[in-house]
Amino acid sequence: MWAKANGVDLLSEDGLTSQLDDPAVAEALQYATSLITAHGEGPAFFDFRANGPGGVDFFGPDNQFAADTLGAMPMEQWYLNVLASNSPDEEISFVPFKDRQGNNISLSGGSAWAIPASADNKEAACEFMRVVTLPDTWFAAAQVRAEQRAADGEPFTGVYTGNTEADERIFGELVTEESAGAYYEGAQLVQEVADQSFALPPTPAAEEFTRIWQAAVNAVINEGADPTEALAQADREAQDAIDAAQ
Amino acid sequence: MTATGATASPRRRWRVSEETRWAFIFLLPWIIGFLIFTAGPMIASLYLSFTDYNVIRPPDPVGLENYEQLMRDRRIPLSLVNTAVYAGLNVPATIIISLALAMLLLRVGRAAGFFRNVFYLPNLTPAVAVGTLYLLLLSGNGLLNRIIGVFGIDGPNWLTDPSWAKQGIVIMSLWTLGSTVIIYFAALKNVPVELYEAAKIDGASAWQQFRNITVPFISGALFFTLIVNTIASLQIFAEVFTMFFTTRSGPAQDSALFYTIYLFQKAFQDLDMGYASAMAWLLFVIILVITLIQVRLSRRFVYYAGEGG
Repeated sequence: MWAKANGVDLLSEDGLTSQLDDPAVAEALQYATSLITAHGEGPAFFDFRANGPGGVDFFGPDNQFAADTLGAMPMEQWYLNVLASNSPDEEISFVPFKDRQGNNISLSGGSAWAIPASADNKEAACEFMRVVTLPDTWFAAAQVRAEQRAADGEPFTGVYTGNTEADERIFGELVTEESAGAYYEGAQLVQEVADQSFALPPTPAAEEFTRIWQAAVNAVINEGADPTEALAQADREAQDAIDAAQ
Repeated sequence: MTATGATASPRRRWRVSEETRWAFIFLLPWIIGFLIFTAGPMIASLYLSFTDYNVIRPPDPVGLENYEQLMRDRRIPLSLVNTAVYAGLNVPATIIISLALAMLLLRVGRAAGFFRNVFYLPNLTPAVAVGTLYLLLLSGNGLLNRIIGVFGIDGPNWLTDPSWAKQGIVIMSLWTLGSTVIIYFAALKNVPVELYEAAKIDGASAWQQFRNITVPFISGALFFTLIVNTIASLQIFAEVFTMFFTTRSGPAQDSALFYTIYLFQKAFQDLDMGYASAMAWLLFVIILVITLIQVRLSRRFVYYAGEGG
């Protein structure tokens, strides 16, 4: 996200060329690191985040927002659902991630279906995939969840479907000020920025690529490594991994 | 006559006593288990190490490519150095502390049985539970830092600071030194008391008695635990994975990247089974060489009572 906000992608469009050595990536990393080191040294920051008040109960009612130890953080939208369940009355504001020109940006990802070539009943598998991803199916599932949330006295913040028609119906009909409560603003915002989202292109070495650039980021934040050098090294490793995986 | 003699000879060679036959029958469950669960996978991994295999498609032979890649991969030396540093810290620490505890056990008389159990009990804890437990104990405001804080020491961030991660893992590993304590305790009990008495009469100090009587007599146990703990240290996985690698990214992951963890990542996260198999064989060779060196050195330092030396 930080690199994208600085106008550069980590991978080429075809997913075959690492662009980690682009100076704009190093500049973005330098900036993101400065946000962390402004609080102190990297290791202390990460320890506080994981083990400080509220950190241990990231998925529970004693989270950092409830413990008042967190002012703001960039976070994926699923955490909104976690908070809605655990801290239904917490007053939290949501703002979109913006690039350096002030435009909203959002990163999207998801899971894919696959049918093994040797599957016994490919047609049935195909039909199953088709039916469970129909807008009506999504809506029916969302409706059940909305009813369950209402019965539990928790806000309903929607279901992320990846299907435009289903999203419009779910967020238009089921996610209301009444059903989403304090999270209405956040739930609607997630929907709004979905149109401005980008996705990392598929790459044959996706796991390794992520691990490699994250190791470089950790070296910069925690060990004070130079961003340009760390990313140049990561770029070489990532390219080797992509080439080897083809 | 000649023909009869020629056929009788091989028969005689294959004749086994009833005792031996029963021994093999009793060993059979282990032999079958070894062939299916150890020897079989080892042979398979040796073959796979010369292939490109991602589990989904059939293995594709690539010759020595995986082994060539091992030489170029920056994470191989990184993970080997991490593992060696950990083993270099953990093995001596385990041996010294276990020996000290075992010697204390000798002095507590009847209570030794109770303490022996207490020392051994942590060994029964599942590795993942140990890892989780130490996530709590070693965190910045965890119990360990609170204890050393009493002495005015500002404890490090064991879990997030790359320069302290390995020391934290060594502390975690000491949780399971109970088995080494038990081995030393048994060895210490076998040291003849008369030798100490004679040494005392001759005016030997406590250190001289330890150096010249205790250590030689328990050198067999010391050597055994040296080998076993070295191998275990080079293969440590579950606890470290639980502590540092349950999320995709962690601040001290490069420092805690042990060889077996990198091997797991290549095999089960990147699905590069051929490369992971080559890594496994490299580790096998490394452990073999280290163990052979230790065995060679042991000839000079280990004393076995039965040899009459």
